[in-house]
Amino acid sequence: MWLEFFLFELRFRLKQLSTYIFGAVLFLFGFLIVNIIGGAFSNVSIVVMSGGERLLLNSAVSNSNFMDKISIFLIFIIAAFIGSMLNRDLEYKAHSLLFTKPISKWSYITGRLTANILLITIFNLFLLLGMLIACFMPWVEKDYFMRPEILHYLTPLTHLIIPNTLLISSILLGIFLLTRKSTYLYVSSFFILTVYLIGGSYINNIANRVTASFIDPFGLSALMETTRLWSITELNSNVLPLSGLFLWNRIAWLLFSILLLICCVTKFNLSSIYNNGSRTLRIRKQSESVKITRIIPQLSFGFAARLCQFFSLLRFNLKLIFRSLPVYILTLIGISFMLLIVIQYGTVYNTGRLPITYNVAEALAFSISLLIVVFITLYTGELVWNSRDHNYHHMLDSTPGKNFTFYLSQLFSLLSLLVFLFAVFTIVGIFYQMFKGYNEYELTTYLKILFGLNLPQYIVLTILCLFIHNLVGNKYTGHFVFIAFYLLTPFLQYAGLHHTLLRFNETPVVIYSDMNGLGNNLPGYVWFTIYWSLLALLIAYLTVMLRKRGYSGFNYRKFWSDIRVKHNYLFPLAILLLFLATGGYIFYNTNILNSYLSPKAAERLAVDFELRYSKYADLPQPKITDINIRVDIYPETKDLIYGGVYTLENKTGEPVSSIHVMLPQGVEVTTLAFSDEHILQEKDTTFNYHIYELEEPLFPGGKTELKFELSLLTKGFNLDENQYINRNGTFIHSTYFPSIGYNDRYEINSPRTRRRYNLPEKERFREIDDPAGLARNYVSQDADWVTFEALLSTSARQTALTSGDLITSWSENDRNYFHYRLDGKMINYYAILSAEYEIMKDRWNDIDIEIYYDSKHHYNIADMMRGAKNSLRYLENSFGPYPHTVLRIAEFPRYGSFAQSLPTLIPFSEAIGFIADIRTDKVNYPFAITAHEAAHQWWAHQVIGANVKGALTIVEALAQYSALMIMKREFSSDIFRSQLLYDLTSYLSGRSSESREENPVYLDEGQQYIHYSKGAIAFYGLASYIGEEELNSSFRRFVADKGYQEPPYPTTLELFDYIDVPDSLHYFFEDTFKRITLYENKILEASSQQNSDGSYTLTTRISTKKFYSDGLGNLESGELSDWIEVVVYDQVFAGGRKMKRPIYREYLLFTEEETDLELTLDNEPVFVGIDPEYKLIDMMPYRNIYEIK
Amino acid sequence: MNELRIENLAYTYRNGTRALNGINLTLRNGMFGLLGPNGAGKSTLMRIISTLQDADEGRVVFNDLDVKNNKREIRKQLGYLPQEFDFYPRMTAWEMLDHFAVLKGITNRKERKNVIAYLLDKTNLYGVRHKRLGSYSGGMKQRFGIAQALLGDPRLVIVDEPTAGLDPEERYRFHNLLSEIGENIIIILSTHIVDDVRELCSNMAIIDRGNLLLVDNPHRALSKYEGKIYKRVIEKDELEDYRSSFEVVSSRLYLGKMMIHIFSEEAIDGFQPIPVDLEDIYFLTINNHRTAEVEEEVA
Repeated sequence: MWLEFFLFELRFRLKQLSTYIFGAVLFLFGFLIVNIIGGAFSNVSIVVMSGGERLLLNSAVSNSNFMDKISIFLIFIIAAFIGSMLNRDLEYKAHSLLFTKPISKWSYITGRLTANILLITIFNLFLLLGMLIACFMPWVEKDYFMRPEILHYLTPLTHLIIPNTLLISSILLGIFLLTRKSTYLYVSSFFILTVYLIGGSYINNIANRVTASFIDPFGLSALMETTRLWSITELNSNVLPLSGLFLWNRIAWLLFSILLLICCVTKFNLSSIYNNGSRTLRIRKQSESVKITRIIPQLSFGFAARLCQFFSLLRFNLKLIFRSLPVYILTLIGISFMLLIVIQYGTVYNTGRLPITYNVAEALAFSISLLIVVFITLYTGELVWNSRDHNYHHMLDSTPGKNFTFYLSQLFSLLSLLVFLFAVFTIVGIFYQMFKGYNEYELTTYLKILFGLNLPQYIVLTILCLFIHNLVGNKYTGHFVFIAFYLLTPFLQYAGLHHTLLRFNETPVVIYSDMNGLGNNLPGYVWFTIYWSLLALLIAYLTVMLRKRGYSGFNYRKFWSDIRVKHNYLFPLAILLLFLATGGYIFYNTNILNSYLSPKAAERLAVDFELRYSKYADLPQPKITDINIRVDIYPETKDLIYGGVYTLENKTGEPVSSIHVMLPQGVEVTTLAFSDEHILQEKDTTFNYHIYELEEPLFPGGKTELKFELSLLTKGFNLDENQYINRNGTFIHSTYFPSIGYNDRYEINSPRTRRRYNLPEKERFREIDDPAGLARNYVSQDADWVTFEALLSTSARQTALTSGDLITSWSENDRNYFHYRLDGKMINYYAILSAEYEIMKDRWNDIDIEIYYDSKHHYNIADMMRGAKNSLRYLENSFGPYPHTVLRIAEFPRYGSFAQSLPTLIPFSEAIGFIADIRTDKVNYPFAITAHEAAHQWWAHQVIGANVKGALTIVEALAQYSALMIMKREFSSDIFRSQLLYDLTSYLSGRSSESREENPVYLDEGQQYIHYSKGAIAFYGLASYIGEEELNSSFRRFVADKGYQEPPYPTTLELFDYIDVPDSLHYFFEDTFKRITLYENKILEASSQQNSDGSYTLTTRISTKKFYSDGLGNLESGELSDWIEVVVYDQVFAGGRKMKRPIYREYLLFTEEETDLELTLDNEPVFVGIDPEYKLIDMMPYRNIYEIK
Repeated sequence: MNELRIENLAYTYRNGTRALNGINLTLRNGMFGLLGPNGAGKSTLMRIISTLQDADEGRVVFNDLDVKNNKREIRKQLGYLPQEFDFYPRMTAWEMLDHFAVLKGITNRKERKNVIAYLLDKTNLYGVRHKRLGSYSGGMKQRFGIAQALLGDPRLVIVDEPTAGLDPEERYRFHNLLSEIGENIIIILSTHIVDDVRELCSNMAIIDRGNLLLVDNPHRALSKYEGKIYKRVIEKDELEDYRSSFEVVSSRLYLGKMMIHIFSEEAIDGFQPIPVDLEDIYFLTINNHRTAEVEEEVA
């Protein structure tokens, strides 16, 4: 019996054309995606996941990732299969025949279900086959792939795809049996898909990692978690592991699926299920009657009548929409997404943001975007197909209502639905702000972001969806075509369609900023919105013309004859012309007024540049010694007119006559001239590369001046406007000023891309003893320490800022002027800011501290001020005096979300710090970031590393170490510990996505997870082992000796010379800084007993392991003879919270893998920890503290 | 006086089935019955008249308006009830009818209310006007469909099998309703229930396999065959013998035996003359035509 049902279903499916189409589509999908990522079409190198560029594209982990992401979309096919599997008998009216027969429901359901799951598996096999064959294509990059291993393809199928298919099938089956409506099958499919899509983003939340990977029903997060610490060799060569979290995740969800399935089948009642819910009321009381004097109605068909018809249809359609349950279910789901997202939105160090309006509105827009396509396709389908589904379309079609009226009413009903959604979400957003105790609601910001920046594109999408549904043969094809279109359009750019004009419904992205409002991309956005709206109008016209009415399907002959006979071509022609004209105008702006480069063209240009000019890389050039600039900022027109004088000095040992000057593309040169006699030998306008020949060469020690007059003007609008010169919040860097000599900034870094263009391999940093590297600092090749003076001007209400003391400022001609001069010297890196600022001023000793902030962002400036003061106190005490008399923090718009440190000036993004929600017990990062940036006034602006490996360790690791020590004094030990854990896990996950090779701390090659995360922990550990005072005094001496050091610049090895490490800790220093060492320390068990004298005896078993890793992550065990800290805590209540209080703290020597320890303590121990404060790099940092039961 | 002219109308489905084979017919005010077996082409003909389908050849002209090129004008004067239909189950009868009324051009709210109440009363649905259509029985839906077709005082009403599924009382009520309005407009009624035509129609046509076989006034048609139909009760296995010797009009089971009607110009022994019924004419016409077709093919 089971076999019969199984075979019946299989045969049925195999007779359907769609089965073969699905198979073919999946094959193509697999084939295409591997081709795209394998570099067949262009240079898109999508770094798919951890492992970066070194992860081969046909490893088991990559395959899992691709297959999982593609096959999740099969959920719609599963839904269709399940729906039709149970509905079919009903449709063909066979159910009453079938279910009166003595058949087993188990065979009935499981037989059919098995057949369908088998088919889905076969589809996935096609996908797999496509992916496999793509590896062999001659045009893919060979070094992205290894020789295909069949198990690397099959294990993802067996471990992920098949169990997931079973899970989805059981869930959908349950939902169908519960609701008996296929609409809900689709609704829940969308829901599951969305959960899948956003579930991934939650994995970033460290605290949730283990839980999240367990909860993930599809197992990918668990797989990531299990393989997170794998080396790249392991990631490439291993098949999927059946161990750890991943194994448990798979077992749990498989069991869940089976149980759910059993539940469903047990509950399923063959005969009752198809009395499909609709009850015919036996209405007896029909005979009520009225006496009616009949009026003969006046029929009218004019404009007023059509308006009336439109409103009647609108009412009717709105009833269709709002009387159906899914609207409300989906809205509620959307609201819960929104709440999840808004809480997570923009967290830094696990600390959330204040619910300021643009933040909430963007979270709303994002959660709407996940749902809206469901709404659009579902309800467009409902409206278009309702009369057919319920079989009253003939009557409707034979009424004199115009196609246009019908169409317009459908469109407006859908628009009402969209507006309803947006309104509901806005209200929820405001409630959320209220609930969070934030009461500066800005309704206009909601309107701008939601209704201005998001609604228009959904209207265009709705018009497209109406078009598709009116054209296709049935509702489900309509759904499928629309969703396929929606999902596939983003891939167009990989197939060569880069320009936004060619990508349906794409516009420049407008980012709302509290400082700068809608910003520079607004004109582009508006024009593109007009452009797509015109296309939508054309589509709408076609929809009305081609709309099916009666029995005749759409008929092109009739369509053309309508156009000819009724002269209907004027309107579409006019729209078409307008559409093309708008496109032309956009093209004029983006490609003629501004230059447009496809990614491929940009890459070729970079290659050209390198090929043409890299030969000059080692050409001796003079260096800049004095900078004197003048910058006129015109925020209203977004123009910059600027100039200045450089003093250049020949610091080489030979005469220099040829001087190369580079400027960024787009900068226009008015004057560029030397004070000495010279000729312009070459002027390359493509790259803005100029070669000058001095008539008299510049002899060693000789000086010359470079005068320049430049402008950077905004012309029309561009696809992706620069967001540096803004109406409010200009923020430009010294990169807009001339640089001397060849600058390798434009070179391509990706090794894969370089290989494709046959460029030589490029090292990330030079070796630590490379003389050319030691001769310059890592920031600028064309200057050592320079003097700096700047005259800035800006519009009347703005303040312009840069490095140095403000000498004078004045107003003239409705403009503000500011004259800055730095006392002392600095590296050649500065920035210029201009905005309408509020200012907070304070002092520490004789240093002025000023915070320039936007009037809306006053929340955290007190913490930043305290951060600056505490930092200056700690830094001056520890490392020596601050060399300037002022320190400024200045807010800039959120187009970048970082803070940086320039001499005397800390630009700080409005997206971080200023709007952090520090009312929680998380890390106060406005304070923390201020501390880090303040520390850079020593580490970078006094001591800067040579341009060799380890340069950033000196700058970033020491800055973050300083910040940690400042934070340690500010924060509670629990919060401090969570910051350490954050740095530690950043390192651990960073090393697993290393794209080339991990280095030890002292040879860092600009790897953030090393110089920032690991470096900070390493120096903090060192301070703990040898003493903070001791370490800081070494650093103090280092700053005193190497501060403002002219070439050769210092290296990490020179830094280490200053640090005295006792012999007993020599191993620690080597392990931490010169090797890649990882510990795995954990408490296995612990118990305590009260002794008769009132003291406590704690017995615990501790496991300690040490590993050394090579650069690829291969581990080997290390000999253990290490001092590791053991801390015992009790618990106290402070400030309403439970806090751990150390009652025992000792470094103990561990030599064994397992050690039993017995301690006698005065107080009752509650926790015992092995290296609980992360002084060592621990691979498993979650089991270092043990709660004693 | 309205006039509907059907000229040489032909339609062939994509699969090659010829649904209409050059139909010529002119109708004037009054009820017109279209009789024919399933698949005769009735529904296709009615859809073409109701603007929902375009004919391959020929044309339909209503009061000098060519239907194909003046669909909207025709729709303004048209009431149509298809053979199979349903309604959106979540709307009430009133809501749905109101919706249709607006689409038909009754835009004055007061007038619309009056019309809807009137029609719901006439179709005996007034008492359940605020019930959802999903709860209506088949007969109620049928009546509701008729109410829908009569909205806006159409001058051309086309109803496809309207009495199917109605009980005798409902059918009677329906007949009354149609005859009340049918004097000044054209009503085309397709049916295979012969009694509908006899009771209601001033004119009728019989159509089979796309051909128009007979167009006549029912009474005239009846009188033509008056006294020429006979019946006899026979054993079941005798049917073939009788078929070969007589022109058997119809046969049906009768108390375990078989009752046959035959056509004959003169009286035959053993056969009892009966008053002619429209059904006999219907069968006769169709049988004759089919025999002729077969002979044609043989020849």
